[in-house]
Amino acid sequence: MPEPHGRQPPSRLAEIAAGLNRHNLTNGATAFLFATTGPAAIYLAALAEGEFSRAETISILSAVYGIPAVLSIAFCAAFRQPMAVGWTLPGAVLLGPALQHLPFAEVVGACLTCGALLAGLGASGLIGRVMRQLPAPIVMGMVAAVFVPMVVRMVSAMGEAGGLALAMLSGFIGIAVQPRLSLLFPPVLAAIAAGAAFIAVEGRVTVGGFEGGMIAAPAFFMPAFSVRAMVELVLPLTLTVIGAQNAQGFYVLRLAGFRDLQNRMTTLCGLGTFPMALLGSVPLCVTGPTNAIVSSSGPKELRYVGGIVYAVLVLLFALFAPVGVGLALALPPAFIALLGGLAMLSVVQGAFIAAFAGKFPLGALVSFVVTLSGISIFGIGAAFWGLVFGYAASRLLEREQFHAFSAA
Amino acid sequence: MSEHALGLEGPRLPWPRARELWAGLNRHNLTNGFMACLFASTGPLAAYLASLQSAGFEPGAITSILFGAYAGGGLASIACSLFFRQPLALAWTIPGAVILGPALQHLTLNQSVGSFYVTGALIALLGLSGLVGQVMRQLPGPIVMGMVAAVFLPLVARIIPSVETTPALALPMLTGFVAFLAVPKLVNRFPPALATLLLGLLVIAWFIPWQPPEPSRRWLVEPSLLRPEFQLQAILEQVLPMMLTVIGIQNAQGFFVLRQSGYRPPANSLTLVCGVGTGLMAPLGTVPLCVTGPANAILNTSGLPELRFMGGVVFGVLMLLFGLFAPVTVGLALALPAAFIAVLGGLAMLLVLQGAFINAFSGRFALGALLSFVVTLSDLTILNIGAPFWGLVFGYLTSRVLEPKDFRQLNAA
Repeated sequence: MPEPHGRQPPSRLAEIAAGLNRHNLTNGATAFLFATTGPAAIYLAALAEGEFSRAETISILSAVYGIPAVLSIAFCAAFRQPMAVGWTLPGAVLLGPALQHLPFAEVVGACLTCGALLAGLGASGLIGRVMRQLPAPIVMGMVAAVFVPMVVRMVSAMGEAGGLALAMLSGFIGIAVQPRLSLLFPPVLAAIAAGAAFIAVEGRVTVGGFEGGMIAAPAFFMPAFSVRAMVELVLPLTLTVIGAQNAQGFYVLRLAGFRDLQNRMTTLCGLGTFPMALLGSVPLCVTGPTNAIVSSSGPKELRYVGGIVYAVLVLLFALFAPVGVGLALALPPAFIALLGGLAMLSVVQGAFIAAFAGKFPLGALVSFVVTLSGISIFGIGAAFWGLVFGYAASRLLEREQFHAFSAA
Repeated sequence: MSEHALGLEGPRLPWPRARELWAGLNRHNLTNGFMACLFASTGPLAAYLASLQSAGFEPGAITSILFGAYAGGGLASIACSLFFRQPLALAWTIPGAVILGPALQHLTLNQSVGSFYVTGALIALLGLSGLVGQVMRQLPGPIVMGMVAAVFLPLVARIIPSVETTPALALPMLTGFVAFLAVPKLVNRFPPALATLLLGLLVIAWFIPWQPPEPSRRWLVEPSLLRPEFQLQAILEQVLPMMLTVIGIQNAQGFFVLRQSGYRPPANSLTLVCGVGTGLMAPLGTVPLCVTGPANAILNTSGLPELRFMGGVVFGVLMLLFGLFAPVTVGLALALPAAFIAVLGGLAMLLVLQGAFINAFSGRFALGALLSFVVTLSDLTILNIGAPFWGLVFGYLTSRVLEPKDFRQLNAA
C-alpha cells in the first residue's frame, strides 16, 4: 500500500536500531548466557567421550554456536519475530554414549541424514499434521525426564562442593527473590558471578594458555554412512529435534502470540543441519528456552531485535571459542553442574506443569517414566519410546480426552 | 470429627454398624487390602530381612522380630480404620529398617530396643503436643506431593527392567492390566490389579520355573522378648533419624495420600498411635510404627469412598495373619519371582503416582514441588536422615523464598 504523503517506511536497519531497547538488550544477553554456559558444558562433556584434539574440540564448539547464530540473525530479521535456532540439546546427550562405540565420521553421516529427513518432512507438510496428533503433555513428560537428571546433578553437586554451592545459590536466590530485579538481572548471572568469585578466592583454578590464538579455525569432518549409526542415531535425533526441541520452541512462540511456521522451520532446520554436521555439530532446532526469554518483555513488534542481540553475542562467543572453551574447561565440574541445574530449573518446572496440569496425565506419566528409565530398544533411546508408549497409553486409557483432542 | 482438648482427633461417630462392615467386604476392598498387604510383605520385607540377616540373626529370632512388625502394624491398622472410619494402613517404617542395618554392625539389638522406646516416647509426645497437625497444615500439599512422587517413582519405574529381564511374565501382566483398565465396564466390576495378579499367578504356575520354599517345621511364630538397654551412643545415632523419618517421611506421605483421596487424616491422634505402637512393638525388636504411604495409596485406588475403611481392616487382618504365621509366610513371600512383585507393585502405584504428579505440578508451589521432587530423587543423606526429609525441607524453603505469593494465598484461604 503506498504511503499517502510519500513518506518512506523506516528501513529494516533503522527499525532494528530502534529495537535496541533495554528489554531486548537484557533479554538477548540473558538468553545468550543461558545458551552458552550450561549447554556448552553438556556439549563438552559429550565430546569428552570421543577422542578429539583440543583444536578440534574448539572448532566443533565454534561451529555449534556460530552457524545457528548466523541463521538466527537471518530468521529473526526475515520473519520480523523471535525465531532463534540452536543446536539440539538432546542430540548432544545422545552424542556422548554414541561416541563410546561409533567413529565420529559415522555420527556425522547420521547427522546429515537427519538433516535430509527434517528437510523432507518439513517440505511434505507432514510435521504440522503429526504434531497436531501428538498431545503436548505427552511430549512434555518426555522433556521433563530428559531434563530432570540435570537438576538432580545440581543437588549432588551441592553435597560435593558445599561452599561453592552456597555461594552460587545465594547469588541466585538473592536476585530471584525480587521479581522486578530478576527481569533486569538474570539470577543465573548472579550465580555465575558469585561462583566465579568463590573460585577466584579459593584460587584453585588456572585458566590454560590459549594455544592456537583467540579465534577458532574451522575443522571439517568427512561423513561416513553406516547402518548401525543410522539405526542408532537418525531416528532419535530427528524425533528429538521435532518432538522435544521444535515442539517446545513452537509452543513457546505460539504462547507469546507469534507465528510458529512449523513446516517451514522444520525444513530450514534440516537445511541448516548440513553445514553444521560437516563441522561436527549435532542438528539444528528451534530452541525453547531462548525464544521464551527473548519473547518475554518489551514492545511485541520489536522483540525480534532481542533475538538478533542474542545471536550476535553467540556469534562473538563462537568466534572467540578458544577463550570461551578455555574458560569453560577450567571451571570445576560442580560449577557447571550447579549452573546447568539452576538454568534448567524453570524449564523443568514448566515442562512438569505442562505435562501434568493438562488432559493427558497418564500418557505424560508413562512418557516420563519410560524416558527416565533410560531403556533402549533397537538402539533407539528412551526418549523416543517414551513418546511411543506415552501415546499408546493415552490412546488406550485416556480415550475420551483423545476424542476431544482430535475433534478440536 | 470431634476435636479433643489436646488437639487429638476423636473417633468418627456413629460407629460402623454390622451391615456396613459386611457391605465393606466388597471385591474392591478385598482386592486392595490384599494388594496392599502383598506390597508391604514382599519388597519392604526383603529390605528388612537383608539388614537382619547381615547382623547374623537366627531364623527363629528373625521371625519373632517380623511377627512384631507385621502383627503390630496389622492390629493398629484394624483399630485405626474402624475407630476413624477411613482406610488407615499402619506398618513398620522402611527407613527405620534401613537405618538399623548398619547400626547393628556395632550395636546390639537390645541397645536398639532402648532407642526404639525413646523414639516411641518422643513420637507420642509430639502427637500429644498437637504440633504435627499444625506443621502438616502449614506444609503446602504440592511440596509434599513432590516428595511422594519421587518416593513412588522408583516403585513404578521398576516395571521397565522387569520387562527386560522377565518378559514372559511381565508382558502378560501388563497386557492384562491395560486391557482391564481400557474397558470402562470392566474397571468397576473387576479391579485391574486383581486381573494382573491372577494373570501373573497363572503364568508362574504354568510357565515359569519356580522354586517353592522348603516346608517349615513350625507354623506359628514363637515370640521372644528382648530386654532393652539404654545406651547413649545408640540413642544419639538412632532416635533422631528414626523419629524424623517416621514423622517427616512416612506419616507425611500417608497423611497427604489420604488427603488427596478426600479424607481428613487425624494427624495428631495417628502420631500418638505410632508412638505408643512403637513402644509396644519394641520388646520384640521391631523398628517403629508409622502410617504408610504406598499401602494407603493402594487402599484408595477403587471402591466406594465411605466403605474403604474396610479395605484397611482387610489389610490389617492379612498383616496380622502374615505375622502370626511368619515361619511359613516369610519363605513364601520371598519365593515369589522378583519381576512378579515389581510389576504388580508398580502397576498398583501407577495411578497413585499420576495423582502425586498432578497435585505437585498443578500450578501453585510448583518450584517448591520441583525441588522437593529432585532432592528426594537425588538420594542425598545428611545426618543419617534420608533424602525425602531433606526434599521437604528444601522444597519448603524454596517456596518460602521464591514463591511468597503462593504462600499468601494459602494462608488467606
